[in-house]
Amino acid sequence: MKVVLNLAIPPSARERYALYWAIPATLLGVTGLAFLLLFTVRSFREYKAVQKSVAEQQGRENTLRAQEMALRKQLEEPEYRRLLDDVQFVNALIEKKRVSLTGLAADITDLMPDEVRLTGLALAPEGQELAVRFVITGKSEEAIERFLSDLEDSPHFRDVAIVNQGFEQTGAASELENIACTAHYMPGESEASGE
Amino acid sequence: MNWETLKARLLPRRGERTGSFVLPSVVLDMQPGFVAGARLDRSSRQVRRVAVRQLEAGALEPLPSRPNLAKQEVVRRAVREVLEAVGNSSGRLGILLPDPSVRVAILRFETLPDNRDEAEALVRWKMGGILPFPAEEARVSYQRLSKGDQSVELLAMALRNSVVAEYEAAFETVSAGPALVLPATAALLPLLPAGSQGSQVLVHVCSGSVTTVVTVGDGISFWRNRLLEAHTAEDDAEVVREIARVVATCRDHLKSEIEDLWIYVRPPATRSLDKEIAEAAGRHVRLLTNSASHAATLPPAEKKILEGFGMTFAGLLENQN
Repeated sequence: MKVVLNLAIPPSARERYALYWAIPATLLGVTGLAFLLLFTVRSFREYKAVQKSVAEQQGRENTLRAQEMALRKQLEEPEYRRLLDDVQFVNALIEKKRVSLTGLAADITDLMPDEVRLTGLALAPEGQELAVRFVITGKSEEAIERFLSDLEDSPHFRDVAIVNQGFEQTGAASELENIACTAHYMPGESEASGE
Repeated sequence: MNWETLKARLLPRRGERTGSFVLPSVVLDMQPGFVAGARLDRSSRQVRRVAVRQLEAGALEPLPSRPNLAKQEVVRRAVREVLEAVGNSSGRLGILLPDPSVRVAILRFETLPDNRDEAEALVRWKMGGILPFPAEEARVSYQRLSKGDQSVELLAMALRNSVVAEYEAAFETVSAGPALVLPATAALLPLLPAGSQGSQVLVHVCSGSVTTVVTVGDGISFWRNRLLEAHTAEDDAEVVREIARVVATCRDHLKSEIEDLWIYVRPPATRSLDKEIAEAAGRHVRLLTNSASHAATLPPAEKKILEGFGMTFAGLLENQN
């Protein structure tokens, strides 16, 4: 009689193939581990280099800041303060010298309507600023009003003030209006404001 | 193959399922009085080495529901010596257990489910009635004996998991579990001559127990194991009475006349037990000796061991084809 039964438990697929898969799985694991190790070492080196570079930059920045502080401190000393004031004064003078009457006249005439004309112009320094005084003559009150309005809106002029106003009889029916104004002139202001 | 199937194959199963017959290259036969071992050549169907070591009385007590290895160290030492003698195996071994440790039954069903899990659950449930321990703790295996129009007949065996674990623990040098676990008498069944139409009786007397199996054709109609009460000369009388009872049962209940009566006694009997049995049973008794065809390469001393203790190994080789 043939016996086909067996009370032993056959090994599961996992038990059967675990040994066969152990070597390739181990090799794969070791390879992966080595790759991770190399990658980590390389990343660590890069990190160290960047850290060193940042430290150098910070050191340089600290040096520059210390130099700046030293210079500022030097500037606070009386002889350097006087020198600074002199420099500022000289710069102001240079700035004033750069103001041209032609430019001023051009700035004013740009604002003038056809019925208004410039009859007088004077420029004088007033502290750190330039005070301009001019006289205009207009054929109509509306034209003068428009000129004054444009003058106040202009970036080259501020603190516009009318100092005198008068009328001039030119013929039988026509009458001219004269206006004397003062304002502070800021040459090159339109360029600075990005216009 | 879906994920659930893959997971079920890879993960260990909760209710561990037994396999079918395989023949390992090294087999141990562990009995109360001795441990025998053999190295088998499966291709040429030859026993290459065989060895036996005696066990002191009480070292191994075969019981179906209680610990069997009363003296574990003694048994382990015997197993180690036998494995060294036959050639230590690094692979999975086969073990033949004492018959009293395994419960065997012939079960009859009207039908058996095709699903293997369901069939095993049914067999386990039916075996539960004769097990002296909870059926859930049993390792069950069965084989179909016959299938008629009205019924299905099975040979079923059950073994307590904790008991087989004890035997497995005795192989301290082998990491994997055994590849083959059978009661020793099952290994003798293939030695019975095939093709006989009448009933044959196999009597296996081994170290304080007697197992009687009645076969009809290629099927088994009766299996009984009985522990002998005393290991003395009185044993023989008890064996003779047991066989006389089996013969009577066979005639009265199975309605079958016995043609051949085979006997195998381990350790070899000093008295002519076969003559006493023949007288009591009224049948000619034949000794189970079929080792010649499987022991061609063995030295004479090992041949003698094979005949006296290792016919189970010859039976396993015979079963392989």
